Amino acid sequence: MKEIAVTLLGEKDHGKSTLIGNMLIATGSATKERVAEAKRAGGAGFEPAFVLDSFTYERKRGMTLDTTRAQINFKDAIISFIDVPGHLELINNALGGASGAEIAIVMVSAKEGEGFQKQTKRHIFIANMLGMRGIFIAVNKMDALGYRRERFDRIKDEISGYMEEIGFEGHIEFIPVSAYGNENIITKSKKMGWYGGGPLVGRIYDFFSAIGSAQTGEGTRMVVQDTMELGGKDAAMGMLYYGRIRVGDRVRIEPSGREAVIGRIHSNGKETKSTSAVRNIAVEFDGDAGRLERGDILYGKDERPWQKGRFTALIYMTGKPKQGSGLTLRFNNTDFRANRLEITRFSDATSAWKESKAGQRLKANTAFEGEVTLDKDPPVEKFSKYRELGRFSIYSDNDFCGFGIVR
Amino acid sequence: MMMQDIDKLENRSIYIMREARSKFKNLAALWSMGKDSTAMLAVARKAFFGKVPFPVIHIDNGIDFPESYKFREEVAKKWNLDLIVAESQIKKELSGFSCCGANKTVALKKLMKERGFDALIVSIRRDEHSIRAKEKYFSPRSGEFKWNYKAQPTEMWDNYTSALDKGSHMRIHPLLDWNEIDIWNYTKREKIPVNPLYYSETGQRYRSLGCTHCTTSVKSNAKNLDQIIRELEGTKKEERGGREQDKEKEYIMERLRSLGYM
Repeated sequence: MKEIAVTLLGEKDHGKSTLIGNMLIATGSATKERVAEAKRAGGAGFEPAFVLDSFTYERKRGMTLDTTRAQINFKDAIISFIDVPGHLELINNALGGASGAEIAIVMVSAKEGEGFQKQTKRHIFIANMLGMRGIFIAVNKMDALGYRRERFDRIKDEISGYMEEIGFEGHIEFIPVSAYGNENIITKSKKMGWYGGGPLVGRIYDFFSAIGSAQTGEGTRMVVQDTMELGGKDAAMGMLYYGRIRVGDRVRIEPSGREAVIGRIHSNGKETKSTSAVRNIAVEFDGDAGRLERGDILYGKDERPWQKGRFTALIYMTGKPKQGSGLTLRFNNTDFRANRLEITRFSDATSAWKESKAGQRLKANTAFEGEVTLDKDPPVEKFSKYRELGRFSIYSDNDFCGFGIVR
Repeated sequence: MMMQDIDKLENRSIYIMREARSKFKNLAALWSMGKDSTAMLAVARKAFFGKVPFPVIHIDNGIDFPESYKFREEVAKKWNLDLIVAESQIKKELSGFSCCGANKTVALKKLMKERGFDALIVSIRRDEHSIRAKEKYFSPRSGEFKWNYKAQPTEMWDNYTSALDKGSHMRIHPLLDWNEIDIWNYTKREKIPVNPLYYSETGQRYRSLGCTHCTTSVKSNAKNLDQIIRELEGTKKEERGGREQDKEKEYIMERLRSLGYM
């Protein structure tokens, strides 16, 4: 079974929850009771979005407050759709949802007065930073335009121009749809004969089938999460994100750089001689491996980290750091403090990057590129190569205020 | 019903539980003797080398099914669990919303205070209920057990929040991604003990277990795990259809959860 995670993005009220809600109803993926409940709660004001927007607060206001997930079966795949709020004030919730996906559907309403908005630009900018492998622009509300082509073409041109401006290099497709009327979602619409491509869900399925799941990095990488005493010695538990580990392998423990030999491996509750990524495992060492700590990374003995404690990053701030509290960068649930940040470029996330002047400060809803120096020297990898080891969330005084990736 | 890759799910649950043990000083888990929390304990045994390294709490209102009590004793012994039975007083006149709120939550609050637990593993799943679909893996509750669903912490990638205000605790949800059918596939593969109430005896079985007051059985001829799995593959019915507190409007679950219900 293929599993495809798709996030919905785009400005509020451009139809994200409606698309998923209607699709769940149309494909029979939501249980009868759930649909009946949403209909009962909505009464005359029922919206397909209510199947997802389950909080009273959301239904009263006709908005999505927090992210949720809904699945459909399509051919030999489970497609998980992650719904996110479109409101700028709720961007943190949107990021939480979007970070779990490899593919994004960006909803753009074709209706007069709606169209390609600032928030849509921002979401595309973020999708690009998050390394989405494909972006499907669903030009929505085609029913309101009598399914005519002109406005679709105009939006397509505008967005293509913007993609070029911000340097998007992934896969992009444009599909005219009506989320409300279920046109070009699961089956090809007969109302838009001028559109030569396939329906949205089928196109996503075909694209994913062609590229397969991403796993780019070579070599071995295991991130230590915790230790536990086993038979008088510490076993290291954690995620083996890349490669293979065998009993007898000599590994390198970063950041200290010391070497150790794997004595025993515990994988999925069993002892084994050899195991491979991606798995949460535990290893014991032959002889004395010294103290292991959260955030240590095991490498193959001849491998080296890309950088340690200092690196170039792209960051996106959703909030302003609190005065005097500095920034905490959380890599794989381990926190480091940023001692220095030298900004070289910035963007308002709705237009191209600009060179920054001296003394550039961090502010909300802005992206930055710069050189980060941490208080310690944890190994980090390029996000484009080893995703899990090159990404971090940013906190100021325990509050989430942005994210970043290692260049 | 969507059947996912159970190896992947298991790995993620192991990650979440190891994370919980690493981040919190005084962790415990809730166990209802139902299929989900029993599967969670089986995953914990895999994560922690054959042992469940935290206390396991059953909130006992005295009106659970006799089969469940028997099952509790058997499994607790077999897996060497550090079992805590938190007795709650049942008021006969209450049912549904008021019962779950008044009885279960109050007993849990008392126990949490006495033992000073700072984190609680709860085996909810997104596909159970559209309100639960909005949950996070690490989800804080106030001292009053309130769930502030309007301001949930951001979980980007696998970065969870572990910051707690004084008096509050963290709910840990390692099975959030699992579907009902995944639990059964896993139960079968791992040979996890099953509460016999899930099997059909005289044309009826339980799909979701609460206590005797609120849970009703569903029509079914499934007498073993294979038959349960086959039955679920074809169903379009809601799992918690036999639960009183879910029957009315969605906001009952929302109110219950915001008041600290599981």
